[in-house]
Amino acid sequence: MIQFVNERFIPVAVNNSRLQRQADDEGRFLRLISWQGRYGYSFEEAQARLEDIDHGLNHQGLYVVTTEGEVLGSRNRLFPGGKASVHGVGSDPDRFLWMLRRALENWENRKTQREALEIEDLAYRDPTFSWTEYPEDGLILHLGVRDLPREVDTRPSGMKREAHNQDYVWFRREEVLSMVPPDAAVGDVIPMPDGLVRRLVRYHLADYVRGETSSWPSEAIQDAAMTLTVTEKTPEWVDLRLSGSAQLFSEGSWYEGACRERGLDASLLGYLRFDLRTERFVRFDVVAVGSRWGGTDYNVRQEDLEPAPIGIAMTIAGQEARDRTAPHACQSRGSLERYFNA
Amino acid sequence: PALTDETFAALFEACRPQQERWTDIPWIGGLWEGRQKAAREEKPLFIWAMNGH
Repeated sequence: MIQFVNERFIPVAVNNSRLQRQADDEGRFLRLISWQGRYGYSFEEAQARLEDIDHGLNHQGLYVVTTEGEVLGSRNRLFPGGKASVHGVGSDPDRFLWMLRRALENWENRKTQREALEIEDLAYRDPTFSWTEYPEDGLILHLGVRDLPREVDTRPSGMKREAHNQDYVWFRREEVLSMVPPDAAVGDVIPMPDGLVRRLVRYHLADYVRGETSSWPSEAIQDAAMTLTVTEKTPEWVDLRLSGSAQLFSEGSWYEGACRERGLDASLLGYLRFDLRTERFVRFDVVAVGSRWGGTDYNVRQEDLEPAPIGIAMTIAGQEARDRTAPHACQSRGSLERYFNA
Repeated sequence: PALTDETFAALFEACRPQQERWTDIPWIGGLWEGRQKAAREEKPLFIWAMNGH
């Protein structure tokens, strides 16, 4: 399938959270496609809705289109009433492949993009989203999250047992420097700055294993603390051991009232190395392990509300384009400011 | 499970972020850039749009 996609299509992977609300031609192009491919509107009806950036609806999906927005195939189509035709856009590879083949048949009979075109660069990009906030000289962590083995396991096989997810953690340069005092000596126990603890806990100790969830509200933090102990120091680097814990609890109503609370009781441990010459971390490996319970509307826990073990690991991110993806909590207007001021 | 110096390495390996084989596809990271390339090469555009990325 991968070779098939590479040879016959121009594949793009994009961040729907921003595009579906962008007030520029790129956002309008996505909405032209998704109003048709996901919501079933005609091309003309979709065109009439392009300026609506406060639609409050989800436009994610898999789409095959011409450059003029003629939809040749799509997945994650919604039926009337808002019920999704599939859970997750990639959950059935056979149906996905069928869609791609059908789209190629439609390509042969397309009404638009009948010849090579030259499309100009995007002249204007909606400035209300943060395009340049990636902390170039800061610290970026790549996070993985998954369920851990259970002694009593009633989960069905498949996605609900095997799911894993990922996120990115951002620290600015001044925040990195605040973690390691210049005069730190072996044996020193340094409290992790409170704002960084709150950021890690509220935004990154979250149950994204099966799907999206919301960040923890500030008042959900029952207890959270992290310390850095200097374990070794040379003229070139400092080694630190991170340890900590977090207890989170929040009440609400999810799954039409079937779930009234969610919580997490976790411990953290990590090994860090800070290069004194470059003033950068060269190792930042952290694990959080604990019991989670409850769920939120989109993280697919409605049949898995009882306490069960979850694991989260963070390490320094790579340099691929995808490694510049903003933290999941930073995908809406104003969210980046909230993230850095947790 | 207990999180200790002894169990750290195994738990880290179990939980660290995983990439799927989907990364074997040379994805273009911008919708507009993909549209330009599809126009030049006369190919259909395959869009994977998800919340986050």
